[in-house]
Amino acid sequence: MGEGRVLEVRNLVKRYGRVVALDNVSLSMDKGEFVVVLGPSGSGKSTLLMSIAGFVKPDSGDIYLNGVRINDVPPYRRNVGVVFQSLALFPHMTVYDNIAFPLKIRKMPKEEIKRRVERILEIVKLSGLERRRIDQLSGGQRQRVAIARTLVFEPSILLLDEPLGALDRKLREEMQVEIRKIHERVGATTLLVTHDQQEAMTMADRIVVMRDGRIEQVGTPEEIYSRPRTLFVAEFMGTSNILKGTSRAEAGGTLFTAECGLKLRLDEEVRGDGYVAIKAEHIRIHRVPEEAGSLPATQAKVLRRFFEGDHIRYELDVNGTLIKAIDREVRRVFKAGETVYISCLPENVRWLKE
Amino acid sequence: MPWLRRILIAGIVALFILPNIIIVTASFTESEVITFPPRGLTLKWYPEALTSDWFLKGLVNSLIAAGFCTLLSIPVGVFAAYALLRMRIRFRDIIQVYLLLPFTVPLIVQGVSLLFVYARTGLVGNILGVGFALMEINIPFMIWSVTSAVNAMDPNLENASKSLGAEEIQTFLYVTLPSLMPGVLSGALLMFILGLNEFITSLILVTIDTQTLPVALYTKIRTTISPSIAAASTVYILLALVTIYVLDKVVGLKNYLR
Ligand SMILES: Nc1ncnc2c1ncn2[C@@H]1O[C@H](COP(=O)(O)OP(=O)(O)OP(=O)(O)O)[C@@H](O)[C@H]1O
Ligand SMILES: [Mg+2]
Repeated sequence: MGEGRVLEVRNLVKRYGRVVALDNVSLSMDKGEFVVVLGPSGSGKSTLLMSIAGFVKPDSGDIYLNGVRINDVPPYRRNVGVVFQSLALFPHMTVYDNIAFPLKIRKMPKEEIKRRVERILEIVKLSGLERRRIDQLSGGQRQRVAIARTLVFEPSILLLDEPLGALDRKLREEMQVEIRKIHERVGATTLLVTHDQQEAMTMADRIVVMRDGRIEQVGTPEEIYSRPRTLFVAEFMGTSNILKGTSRAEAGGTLFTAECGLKLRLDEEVRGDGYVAIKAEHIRIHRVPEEAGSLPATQAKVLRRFFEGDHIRYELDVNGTLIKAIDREVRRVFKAGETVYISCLPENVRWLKE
Repeated sequence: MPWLRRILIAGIVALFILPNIIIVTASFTESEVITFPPRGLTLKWYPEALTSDWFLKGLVNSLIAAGFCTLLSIPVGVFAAYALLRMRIRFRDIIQVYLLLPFTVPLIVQGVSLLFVYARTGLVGNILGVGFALMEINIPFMIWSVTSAVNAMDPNLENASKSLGAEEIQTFLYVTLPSLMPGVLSGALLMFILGLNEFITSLILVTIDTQTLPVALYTKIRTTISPSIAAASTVYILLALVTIYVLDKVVGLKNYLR
């Protein structure tokens, strides 16, 4: 186990009757890392978080925190900070008392509590509101109180379960930046759960994509977005073009022929039926097939085009299949109805596992 | 049609408080028997009622019985409601029905059964026995009140408390209980007022020495129709109003009875 290793989850399994909420999940986090668990509803995100917090007892597998196995440690001794989706602020306490709660429980001296609460209030920008009751706060302010309350006792790890789910779009985006900033100031090792891929992209150092209780892919936002490894991840990340077809060996390497007839060269050695993902900005459009060089070019028809500032977005038709393309060469324009040829560099074609 | 609405509201109000107004006004009569409208205007029945033995004893007994019943009902109600909702208990459904039983068994039968038990255990003539009886017959109100508070509570509140470092007991004392307080207080208020007013079961269980105010009033009215009874009733009404007022001031009922 590495020096800066804070969390180590090994082969976690949790079943609810016939539902497998966690299916052999392993995950590790280093000190100061911001990891986002991304997945659709029911993929096991909360179950994973609540297992780490100690509210769900896994059927098998181990959880280590700072090198210590915590499977049998009760939640109140784990030193894990949790922000629940409902926030779970204590309605009968003021802002100050909410934040001071974990310190009072730890029997810290009064002055020390005051000092710490004031410092954390400053970090989350809530100074001056300490006497307010919770119902006198806005949604964003409540969010901050919940985060302050968990940060104030300096937990080994901070767990956030869809903390922004209840906020409207604008406030949500503000809080995403805010949580990142707080993270940079405090340096807390943070594990956040969301089903919003944009949120994951904005906030994470590393994204863990979950599906049906299993980890589908782990990587930086850039990796997950640009190099999805499975059909599920590509679809979930909203990759523009996902095509079904067959790969086979060919003189120059691997050739993929999509069901619609689109031919693509792959730089991976794969064979058989499957899917590929191509981002819109990686589709190259040509007037004549020769422009594609040695790469296969497939005939397509321009359906629509949209000028969007520094790029043009095209919708193309290849034998009835819609292909989306983004062209940054705005000096060269294709008209709707025009016949063109499309190709794609092999390194930009992602072979997807199912 | 605002006038129609006003008439309706006035009608409803009159229906509810008119009998009370009659008894209150009747207490000011100068005549020797209760009359309405009152003849003349005097306050002389008040000192007479307030200093009379039957009234004072009844009042004290009622306060003790209702107070004891309320005190008992708090732990019983909180535990019953919380345990039934949050703990895994066998025969939960049966217990839940059983807790509502006091409402389905006529009060008179309850009184008789309790009298039987008290007679065996020597509790007849003990005012605390009356208090216990009041608790037993009215406890569903407390349980309902606390149950709605438990249901309204965010279940993650207790988990949050634990993740912040509070053990089970600390969590219950510092987080669960305060969150249930609104329900406990409105339940306690109901228990106290119901205890103060309860008549049928009390009638069966009390002796001369442990007569509660309603029983004392009833006994009195059968022998005399002196306006001092109206005066005593007025004080009784005031007592109930004061209870509500004080509790409102202390705990801010508006926030809780929503
Ligand atoms: N207490 C429970 N009892 C039974 N099944 C449960 C329980 N908790 C979770 N599950 C099931 O386990 C699976 C994973 O649930 P989980 O709450 O971890 O999903 P999630 O990824 O957090 O979803 P969401 O985005 O909707 O919060 C789901 O199929 C869910 O129905
Ligand atoms: Mg969840």
